[in-house]
Parts: sequence; structure tokens; C-alpha cells
Amino acid sequence: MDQILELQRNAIAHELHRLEEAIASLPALAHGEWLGPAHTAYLAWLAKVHGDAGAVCDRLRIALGAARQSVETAAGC
Amino acid sequence: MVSDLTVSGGGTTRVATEELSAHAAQLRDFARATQGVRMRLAMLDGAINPGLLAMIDAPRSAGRANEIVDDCLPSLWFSAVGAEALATALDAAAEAYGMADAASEILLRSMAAKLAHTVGLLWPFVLAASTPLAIFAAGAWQRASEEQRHDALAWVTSHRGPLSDPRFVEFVRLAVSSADEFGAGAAGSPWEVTAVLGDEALGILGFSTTVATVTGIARMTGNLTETPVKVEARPAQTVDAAGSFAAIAERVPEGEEQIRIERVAVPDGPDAYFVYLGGTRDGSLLTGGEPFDMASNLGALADDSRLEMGDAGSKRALHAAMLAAGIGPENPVAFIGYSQGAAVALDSANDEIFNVKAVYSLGGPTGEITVPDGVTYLALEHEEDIVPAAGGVHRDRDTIVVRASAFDGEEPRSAGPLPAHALAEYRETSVRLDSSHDQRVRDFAADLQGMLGGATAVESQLWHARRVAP
Repeated sequence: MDQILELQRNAIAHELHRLEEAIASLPALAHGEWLGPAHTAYLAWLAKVHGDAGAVCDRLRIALGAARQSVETAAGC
Repeated sequence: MVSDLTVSGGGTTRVATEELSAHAAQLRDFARATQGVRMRLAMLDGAINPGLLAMIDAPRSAGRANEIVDDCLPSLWFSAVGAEALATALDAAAEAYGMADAASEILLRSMAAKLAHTVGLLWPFVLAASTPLAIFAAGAWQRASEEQRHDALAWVTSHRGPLSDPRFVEFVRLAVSSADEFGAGAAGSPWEVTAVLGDEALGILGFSTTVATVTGIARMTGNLTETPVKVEARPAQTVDAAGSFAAIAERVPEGEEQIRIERVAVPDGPDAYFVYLGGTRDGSLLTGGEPFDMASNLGALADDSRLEMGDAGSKRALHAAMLAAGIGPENPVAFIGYSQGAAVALDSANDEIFNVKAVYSLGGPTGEITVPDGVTYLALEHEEDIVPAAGGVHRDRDTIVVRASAFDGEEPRSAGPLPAHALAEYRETSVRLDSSHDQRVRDFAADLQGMLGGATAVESQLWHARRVAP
């Protein structure tokens, strides 16, 4: 039993570490910061055609926050 | 602060700054990592399921952890998809940027062409007004002592700012590309006829025809004349293979020798060659002993023309060195050329004597030179460098054009009237190219790496070319 629980705990902790690393490598854009003015103009144009990239950013941050918190909690269980 | 690289061309309308490309690449890496985390947690969730936990009488915390892992899988999936969507949005932004850029370039070129044609029509009046001044200036230069000429060049160097202004550089690029319209206007050709004969239509008139005409006139006055050339090899040595843009830029010759040829031994096929060409060594209009001179400069730019000008001295020297080095039509060749060296390299690729696979230009005036099919071409240019602008607008849509600021508002490090054209500055920028995330730049680097085929050492040999009396 101990071996199975140890395996579960290690695997979740390991994946949490990988997720933290992946989040740390994300560009500022995904953390809610925008690119320079030249790019902002094109992203604004895109927002009209393809939907708001800013809204995608927001949804990504919410999903990431939920996933991160879940894995953290699972690792602590 | 180091400025951004801007990449355009490569067969697409996409224009991407390094910032956009880097962010898109990071987001895709993140999406892959997150999908990996999700898949492994899903496997764990399947392997250590509630049934197993109940069977081994695991504590409640283990069951709770299992439930939470199950719940977070959709969030992880959405995170990966969201990151992919953002990367796609950045790619679309680069496309939109490119389309706007291409549209404004077409508009500007069209306006510049019409303006040049109109100025050409007024040429007799401009000529009448400016000839006395031109004659006076030419006479003064001819009569000036060495010291006075040196002082004049020193004055130009101390007032070099406008020559390196990116706005002036762009003006020169457009003006050069409109030279044929100016010439047609001066000859009295109506606009409609000029447009049909120009580069975009029949290609009878064009930049190379204009250069060929000017060169032909200069030759009639005893300037820019061509001569036979001879090449001499220096001792070969084994050196490390140049496996990066930075290392490649360092190999461009700048001493007495103008050409470097490096042989990559390929066990199962013909050897590959990296051929490096330096820039103009002699800026005089009068031909001396140096084949990398102004006569060759203009000869390389005029070679695309339908007028028979003969090959430039530097190009004949290059071909002689390559043949003497044992390079045949079966050997893959990559050219790396700085300034005139880039123009000569691209011009040679058009001759189809050698099996040219790739050309890497550092500040070459090559915009109007045809890029043959099957040759990948990357042109690195500084925004403040007037020399590539003197080659006109890049007409080939497959050319990968990488532009960067050499100074970024800081004081130029290199001396001389054209500091942005210094080879040292292009070597610095090549270092930045190695860390580019743009796929087109990476593919070009992969092509060069493919020619090295994993070799760690190459046989390197310098060649010295000189003009000889006819």
C-alpha cells in the first residue's frame, strides 16, 4: 500500500514541478501584459476578426490558476 | 538596449519581429508541456483509481488527491488550447503586419516610380541648372591634394549622421529602384511605355539596365574598366567547422585575401563547400590591381541586365578560385558574402555553374539581383546601412530579409563615414540571429547545418585575387 501511495504522491509532486516550470516560461503576454504599441494595433485588428486575444489571455489565466491550485492541493493531500 | 530583429519574406507575407516570434514559440512550448502534464496525470488517474485505493484501504487523503487530479484535467486541457490559440493569434498578427507592410511598399514604389519619371522628363532643365555646379565640384576634386581629399572625407565622417538615418536609407532604396523610370523619363519615354518596359512587366528596362548603361558610359571615359584576374591560394589548414551565424560571420575575409573556401568532407557523397567573400577593397573609379573594386561592384549589379557587360573581375576571381579548389557542379555550395561579396555570390548563383544551395548576405546591395530557384537566400541588413539600400528594394518574395538597428540610438562604435556598414557591426548582429525564434531563420540555419552534416572540422583555405594587365 505504502508503495502505491508513494508513487501517487511523487508523481503528482513531479507534475506540479513541471507545471510550475512551464508557467514560469510563459511570455509576459499570457500573464496579462501586452506587446509593444505596433503589435497592439494588429492584435486589436485581430480582436475584430478572430475574437479578442485579450479574452483568450484571461480565460487561459483562469484555467491555469485552477489547474495549478488543484495540482498543488492534490500534492499536499 | 539591443533592438529587435524584424524578419520578412521567405515566400510569405508574414513580417515578424523577434518579440512576436519568441512569444509564439514560448506559448507553443507551454502548450506541449501542459498537454504532457495532463496526459501523465490522466494515466496516473487511470492507474490509481478509487477501486484500487478502496482495495488497499488507502487513507482518505489519497482518495481526495485522486478526485482533485480528475477535476483539474479539463483546466489543463483548456490551458494548452488557450496557449495554442494565443500563439495562432500572434502568427495572424504577423501576417496582418506583413500584408500592411507589403501594401505600403507597393504604394510607395509606385509613387516613387511616377515621381522619378516626372523628374526624368524635367531632366534637361535640371541638367542645365546643375551641370556648372557638377563640373566645378569634379574639377575641385581632381585638383585637390591628398591632404585636402583626406580633410573632405574627414568632414563627411564627422557629419555622417544623415547618411545613417533610416529614413534617408529608405529614401535611397526607393530612389535606386526608380532609377530606370528616371532614365526613361529623361529619354522622353511616355509613362505608359515605361511601365510596360519596366521590371514589373517586360523587364527590358530595370535597375540592372540602368547600372549597365552608367557603367558603359564610365568605361568610355576610361573609368571602371575590366581586366583579366589571377588567383593565388594560401596554405590550407584544418579548423573547427563554423556551426552558427556568428561563427560564419567571423570567417568572412577582411585582410589582403578576399576569398575563403572551406571544404566539408562528406563520406558518402560529394564534398560540400562554404565559400566566403569579403567586401569592396578599393573604392576608386580608376581600375588598379584590386579586383574587389568599384568596377566589379557595378559589374555585379549590371549582370542581370540584357546588355552584355562581361563578368566582373571579382566574380571571375571567385570562379577561378572555386575551380582551382576542385569544386565541381556536383558539390553543394553555400556562399557567405559581405557587401560586394554578397552581390558577387548571388550573381554567381544565377550562372548555374556551381550547385549553389544557400546564400547568406551581410549588408549586400542585392535587392534587384535575381534569386535563382532552389537557392535559399537570407539577407541581413542594418536599418541605418545605405549600402544594401543602394541595391534597391528586394523584388524576390522568397528572400528572407532580416533587418535590425546597428546602434539603436547609441553612438556608433565603428569609425568611418558608414559605421552601420562595418563588418564588425554585422558580426555583432549575426550573434543575435543565432538566438532568433523565427521559423524561416531557423530553417535557413538548419540548411547550413545540413551541409555540414555533423562535421566538426573543415579544411580552410584563403585565396588572394589580383588584376593583371590585359
